[in-house]
Amino acid sequence: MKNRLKVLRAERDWTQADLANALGVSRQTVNAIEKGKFDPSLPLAFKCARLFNLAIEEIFEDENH
Amino acid sequence: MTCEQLDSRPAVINTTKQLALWTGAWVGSAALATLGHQLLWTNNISLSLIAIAINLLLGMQMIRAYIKHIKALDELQQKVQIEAAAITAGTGIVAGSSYSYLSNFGVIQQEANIAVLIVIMALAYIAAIIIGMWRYR
Repeated sequence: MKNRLKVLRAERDWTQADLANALGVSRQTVNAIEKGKFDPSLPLAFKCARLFNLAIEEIFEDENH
Repeated sequence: MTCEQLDSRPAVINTTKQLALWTGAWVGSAALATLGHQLLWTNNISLSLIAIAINLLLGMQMIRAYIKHIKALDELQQKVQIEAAAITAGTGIVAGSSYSYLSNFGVIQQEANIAVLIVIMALAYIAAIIIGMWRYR
């Protein structure tokens, strides 16, 4: 699954650690999601969406779609 | 590498320290039960039973601490832990049965020792955690 987390984070001048703190996960998890190595659960995806004030599909994109 | 470097969230640091504490206590009590029976209170069954009961109670606390630690981790870390637990359990069953056959068929001279299996499982767990973390780095 592709995502725009890195871009959204960079726009706000946040570090991975800042985003990890805001989401309540480890920095390694943020890094793995940004690199597309790990797909977040639906609750975590919703948390990202709330944090950036966007819809989930504006952040995450199904590569098979 | 300290637990603070792996994950700076206070709950994870706390549960990691608790897990280390209870694991250390369990290993220490296992050593006391084994060495005590051999060296300190030679063949005193009552003292050995007390040492084993303490070891069992500390082991249960270690399991509780491990469950609390898993619950404090985030979803990626939980995934790595679940995969490592599966590999460890599988390794324990496969290596344990092979080791038991070798002992039963007299291929290895000494009787099968549970400590060997614990070491193999511990090494499998450590390797699986390292590989899991490396895969998602």
